[in-house]
Amino acid sequence: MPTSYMKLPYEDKVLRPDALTAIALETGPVGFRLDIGLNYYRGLPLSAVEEFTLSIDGEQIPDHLLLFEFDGKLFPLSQLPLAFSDFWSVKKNLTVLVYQGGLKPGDHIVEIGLIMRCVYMQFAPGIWGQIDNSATRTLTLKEAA
Amino acid sequence: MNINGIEQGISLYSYNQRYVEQPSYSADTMFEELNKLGVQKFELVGACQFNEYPRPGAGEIDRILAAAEKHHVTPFSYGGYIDFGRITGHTPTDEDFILDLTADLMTARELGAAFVRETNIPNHLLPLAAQLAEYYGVSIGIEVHAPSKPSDAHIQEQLAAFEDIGSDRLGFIPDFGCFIERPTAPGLNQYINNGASPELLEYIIANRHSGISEADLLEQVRAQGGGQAERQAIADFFGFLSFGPADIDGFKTLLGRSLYFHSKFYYISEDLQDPTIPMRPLLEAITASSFQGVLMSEYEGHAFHNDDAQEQLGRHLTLEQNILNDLAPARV
Repeated sequence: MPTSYMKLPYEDKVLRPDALTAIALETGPVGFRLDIGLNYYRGLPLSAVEEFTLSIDGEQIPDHLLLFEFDGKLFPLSQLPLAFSDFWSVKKNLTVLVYQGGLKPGDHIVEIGLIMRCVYMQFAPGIWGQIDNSATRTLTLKEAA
Repeated sequence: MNINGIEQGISLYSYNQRYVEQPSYSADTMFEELNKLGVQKFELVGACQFNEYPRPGAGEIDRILAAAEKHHVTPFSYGGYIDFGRITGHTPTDEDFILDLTADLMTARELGAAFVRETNIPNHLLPLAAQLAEYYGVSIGIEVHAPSKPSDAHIQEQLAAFEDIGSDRLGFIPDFGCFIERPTAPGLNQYINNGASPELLEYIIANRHSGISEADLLEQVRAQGGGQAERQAIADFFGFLSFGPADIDGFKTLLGRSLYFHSKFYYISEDLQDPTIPMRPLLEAITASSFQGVLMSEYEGHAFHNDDAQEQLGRHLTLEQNILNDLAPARV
C-alpha cells in the first residue's frame, strides 16, 4: 500500500513572507491577493485541488469570494477541479484574489486549508493519496503595487 | 567514473530541496554540481523540473539541453509519471495511460535520453508500450519502488510479462529504497523535531510488521496521544520508507531485466557507511550478473528537510566506488 497521506517539509514556501498584498483601485482598498506555493516535491495539475479554505485572523472567507489566478487565467473555486491541463509546478504560485473590501495595514494571521489529490497514487477506484498543502503564517500586508 | 562497465550517474531529483525552495536554483546550478562531482550522466524528472507537464514546451527542453551542453553533461534517462488521476471524478482508462506514456516518450526523445522511467503501466498495455518504445527509440523502465519488493507477486507477474513480450525495450529500474532495513537516525530525528514522541515512534516501528493495518495503527497511536508528526511517520513507514529484511534474492531475479538502477539513499555517514540500505550485497548481486550500465545515485534526504545533497552525493559515489573496486577482481 503506498503512502496514503503526505505533508512534506516545504511548508515555508506555501506562504512566503511577501505573499499577502493589498488590492486597491481608484476607489481605494478593495481586497487582497495571496500567493500560494506548493508543498510538494513535484508539480500537480490544478484539478488536484480537492479542498480549499482560507481564513484571515480567524475569519473564514466565503467560497464565492475566492477567485484564483493562474497563468493569466481566472477560476472560481468550483472550476479548479476541471482545470486538468493547467500544471501547478513547484516554481509557480497559485494566487487567490479576495474582494472583501480590503484588510487593515499590518500583520494578519493567514490560514489556508488545502488538500490535493495525489494524481498518480490510487489505492482503490476513486480513492487517491492525499497531499496536505495547508499552512498557517502571520504575514504583513504589503501595499498595493 | 566507470568501474568494470558500471558507470555512476546522478538523478537531479537529489537536488530537490534547493530546487523547490529557492526560486533561482535551476538545472544550470545542478549541472555545475555534477561537474564538481565528476559525473556526466543524469536523470531529469519532468514533473519536478518542468513548468508544463506532461508535455513541456520546446523552450523548456531547449534550456535544459543548452545548459547540459554548456556543462558537458548528458541526459541519460527521463523520469516520467502516469498521472491517471488528473481528471477529477474520471475513472482512468487505457487511453489515459497511453497518453501520458506517449508524452513522456516524446519528451525523452527530445532530450536525447535513452530511457524513460515509469511508475505504473498495466501489464496488458506492455505490448503496446514496447511498440511505442521501438517507434521512439527510447526504452521503458518500470520502477520497482518501496513499498513494493522484487519478490512481490505483482512484480514477478510483470517480469513474466516482460519475458513473454521479449522486447529489449522493456525492463525494470529497481530502486534501492525497496531495501531499507530500518529507519535512519536523521529521519527519526526529523519526526521528533516535528513533535513526535520517541516512545510512540518506537511503538510504531515495533508494530510496523506485526500484521496491524496502517489505519488501525494510526488509531492506536492517536489513542496514546499521537498527533500530526506520528501520523506522518506511520504514513511514511507504510509507504516510501517501508522497511524490513532486504529482499536480495528477489532482487537477483530482476537483474536480467534491469535497465539501470536507482541507487536511492537517505544518509551516508562520515565513515562512508549506509546504515539503512545494504549496499554491498546489492552491488555484489549486480557485479555477479552480466549487467553493464548505470547506477543512478538518488539522494532523498530532503524528505527530512536535509539541505546537504552535494556532500551526501559525494559520500555516496565514493561508497559505491569503494565497494565496486573491492568487487572488481571477482568480476570476469
